[in-house]
Amino acid sequence: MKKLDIVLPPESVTNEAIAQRLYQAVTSGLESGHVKRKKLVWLELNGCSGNIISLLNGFQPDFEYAITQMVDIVYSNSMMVEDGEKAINRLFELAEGDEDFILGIEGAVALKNEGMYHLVGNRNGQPVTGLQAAKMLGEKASSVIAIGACAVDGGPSAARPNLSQSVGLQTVLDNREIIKLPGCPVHPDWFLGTLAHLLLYGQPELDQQQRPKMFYSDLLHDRCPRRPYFDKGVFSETLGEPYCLFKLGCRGPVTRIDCPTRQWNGHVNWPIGASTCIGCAQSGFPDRMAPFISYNTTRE
Amino acid sequence: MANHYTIDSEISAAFSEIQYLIQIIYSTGNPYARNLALNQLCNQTTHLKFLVQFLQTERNTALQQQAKPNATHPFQQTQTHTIPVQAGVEKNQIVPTQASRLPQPKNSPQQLYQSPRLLDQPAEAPYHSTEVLYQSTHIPYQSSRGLYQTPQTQFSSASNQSRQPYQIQEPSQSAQINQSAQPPFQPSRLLYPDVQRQRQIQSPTPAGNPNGQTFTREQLTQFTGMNGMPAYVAVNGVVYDVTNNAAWSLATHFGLKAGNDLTGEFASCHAGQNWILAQLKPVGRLV
Amino acid sequence: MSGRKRIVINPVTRLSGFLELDVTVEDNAVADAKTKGVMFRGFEQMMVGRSPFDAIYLTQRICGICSTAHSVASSTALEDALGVEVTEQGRYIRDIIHCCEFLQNHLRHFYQYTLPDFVKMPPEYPLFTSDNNDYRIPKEINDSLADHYFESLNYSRLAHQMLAVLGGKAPHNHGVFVGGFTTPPDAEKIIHIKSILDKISNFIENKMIPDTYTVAKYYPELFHLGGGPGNLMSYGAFNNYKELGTLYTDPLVYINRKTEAFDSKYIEEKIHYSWYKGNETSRPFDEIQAPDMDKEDAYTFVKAPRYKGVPMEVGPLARLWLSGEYRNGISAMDRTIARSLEAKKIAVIMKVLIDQIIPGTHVQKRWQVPEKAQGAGLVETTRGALGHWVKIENNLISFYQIITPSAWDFSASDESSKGTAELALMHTPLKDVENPVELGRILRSFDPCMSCATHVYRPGKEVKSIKVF
Repeated sequence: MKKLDIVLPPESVTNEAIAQRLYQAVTSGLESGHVKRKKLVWLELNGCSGNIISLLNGFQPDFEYAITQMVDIVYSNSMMVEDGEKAINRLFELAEGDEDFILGIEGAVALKNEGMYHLVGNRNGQPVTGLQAAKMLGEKASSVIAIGACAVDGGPSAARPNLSQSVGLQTVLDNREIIKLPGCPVHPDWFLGTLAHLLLYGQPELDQQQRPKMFYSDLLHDRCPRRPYFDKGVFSETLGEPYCLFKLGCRGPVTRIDCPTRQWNGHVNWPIGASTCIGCAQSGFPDRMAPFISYNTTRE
Repeated sequence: MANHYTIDSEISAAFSEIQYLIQIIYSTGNPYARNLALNQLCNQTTHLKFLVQFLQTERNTALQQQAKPNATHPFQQTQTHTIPVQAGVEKNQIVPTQASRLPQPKNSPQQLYQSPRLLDQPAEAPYHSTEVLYQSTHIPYQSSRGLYQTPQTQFSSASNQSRQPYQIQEPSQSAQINQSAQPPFQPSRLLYPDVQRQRQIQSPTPAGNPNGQTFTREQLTQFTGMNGMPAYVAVNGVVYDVTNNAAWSLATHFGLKAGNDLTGEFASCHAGQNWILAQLKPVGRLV
Repeated sequence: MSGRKRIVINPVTRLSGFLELDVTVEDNAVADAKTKGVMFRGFEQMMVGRSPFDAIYLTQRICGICSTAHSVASSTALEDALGVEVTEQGRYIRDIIHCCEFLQNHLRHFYQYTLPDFVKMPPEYPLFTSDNNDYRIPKEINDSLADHYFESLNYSRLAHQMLAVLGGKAPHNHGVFVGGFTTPPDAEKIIHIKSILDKISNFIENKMIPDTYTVAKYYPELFHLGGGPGNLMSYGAFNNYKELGTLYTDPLVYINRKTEAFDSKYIEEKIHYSWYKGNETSRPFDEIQAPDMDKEDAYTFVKAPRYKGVPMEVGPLARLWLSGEYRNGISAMDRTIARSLEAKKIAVIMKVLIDQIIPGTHVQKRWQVPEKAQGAGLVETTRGALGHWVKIENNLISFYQIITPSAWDFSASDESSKGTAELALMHTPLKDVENPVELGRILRSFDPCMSCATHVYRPGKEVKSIKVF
């Protein structure tokens, strides 16, 4: 008989365990030279630039590891040393060259006045709009990742009355497959885990909304530690009580995300640990998740 | 019962799936694939266990019914097992339904059955259908009759359904942990002396037999789910109660508000998913 | 070399949001300077028609780096409108949450945004490559500062972790609300943040402050550059506690070299050089002027907030100056030093506040929204004075006005004066016009948060072409 080794106990297939295995695989892949550092463009469009801040909050891997071991970040408005035309030229060099790169975009694309409501820079005396940059790079990149609610479907930037006419990335890159990471902001693990998968195994498995299944498959409500209170009908009357927050406006029952088990900022807490879930990782945030909190709901 | 045939076929499908997975485990040299298969095997056995227990529960229910023929009304016998309201249970108590005692597989059997090689992932959902997924994960088993029942039939059968002050709509194992009406663990109760933890038992249903209840559009607009009014929505002429529906927090659902006729919205977002309606509590007819 | 030359820097990187700098250089010195925000979001209109409570979570989305500031200002404005009196415990914990954000901001602004202007970062990473050839710190010291760039990441991350322990997550916390905070911390959480705070305090004292003075030592000319109008303002920070009194600074302004009490009635916004039509001058609660992108002379959507008609500087230097703790001068380098010194100060304040916490104190109630009301929330945040003004009608928000710290520091010109940062740039001598590193150094000393400043952009009407220059 061939060396049919011992039948292993099943590996854990929780989202956390899968992501953890990915991180380990990236490390060993890079060390063995199996994986080479790809270029990453982190483009900030019409938004709050909160996703890059969230990326800095990553623990394992952290930002230092990401930029020294995983990818070469060639452009990031918030972090890069170069500025002005020298900075913006990097985008054009990539768009006009043959080099492979991954494009991560946070923020929505402002369409109003042909994109003039959001400029990313200035080149040869001409303004470079976010719209132009997104199209130019989006068509060229080997993979495109929409980072955060605004990039995915407009998010808060597109909240009514949406005066800047902001839209999600897909609207301007309609033929392009885009990996979508909704969330406001995106958890560093969601982005870095997706990036790790891209680097090592190619495209991660996506659901019908193009979200990686490893992070966005479980309904928050199903894994909520307060779920027993929901089932028993014990609802908090005010914020800050330890019972189910459904009657105060919790959007956990319509939000698919692994917050309850992953937790935030080094896995110490999560929104429901403080207040209600406002459905920031669900499409339609914020307008279709509003109102966030109310005290007038009928308590049957 | 029709249920038994479907369950039987589910069980045989699960068996053949298990055999298939065992073959894979022995034939593949790829440790990754083997682990996937092993995981799937675990899921399948859990599923099988669930089905067997389900059968047992069914049998017990049948026995009970023989003993007390009026205990369960026909609607629940044939519809789904999620709302087996048992008469004689004190109203103030949280009714431990049959389903709540059932073990819950991670996914609904249908999903597993249709896509046995999907690891742990829920079925693909179209845009906006999170509620659908939500429901489906909590209805472990649904008879085919339930799936194709029209709202009208439900409505008539619902006429017998006395409105329960509290129903566990989405049973889960956690309900099993404690079946008493009072949550036993409330360390912080003293912190909120002014908060009444007791369940309020007032039924906000309008007086009268729900079977005869009709709503004009104007009347419907009062049922906003706010300030003591229940949350009602109308679809295809039937008015449903969504007050305690998990997907209707603050009586809103993806920007839609209770108190409205949402026939068009339902059709555009949940086309072909009439079984969602089967899970709602009908309370009357829109005229 | 003489002659006029125009320099446009866009993007100005290493800041939050998008900023364009447009300067005219004459005889190697700045002869004219314009700071322009280049992003529009329209948050004030977005609030209209929403449930008042939604403002607390939604206005945070204005800014990723200082979201907590908006939640604090928004809840303060709502408390004013709803007639809610905040308990001391409510204030303490909300202020502790806010302190966490101060620390996160100051650490990141100094190490990630400011330091690369002065310290050569490892060039093997494309993020750090630069043509700047004015790096003066000797290699050994330079490299240790570059190491601290990476080391600091751990501490800013921990600052956000403290925030998350109390507020659920960061950025965009869920813990600040009407009444102070949402979920009461228990002893485990308190000791969690105490333990982190200890580490951060050590880092600030042993690394950040010495590093700041190292930078100051090698770039002393910045003590004479970037002065600005010399008017300072604070709405009052960590002040007026019932038992603790004032831990930092009271509401004060320093104007024409005199310190006086702050009064919100002197705040106004001017629009002469901004794309609006309507009253040239308006108060925060006034009507919103209609936008007009065809307006002659206008060059920005940012309005020009003024106090008693003059531009003000806000931020750490203003606060330290007004509290009397730092009076070395008003310049680009003083601003940077003040930021690091303030980080230490905040850590001390935070320790005092943490010692006041009574674990498990529940401050939340079933807040009721009145039919009609209005309220203002003026708070001191990382970058300075932040104001939210809200009006409620039919239980919904009917009006929302936000004046951010960066709107003060990067305000547009008015008829009589340029904006604060524009004044700071004026007459700056440039060593190398091709590589005007001085401009970025001065701008970043203000810690610009353009996501914040530009949220107030209002829509222009559709025009066929837009003059960018």
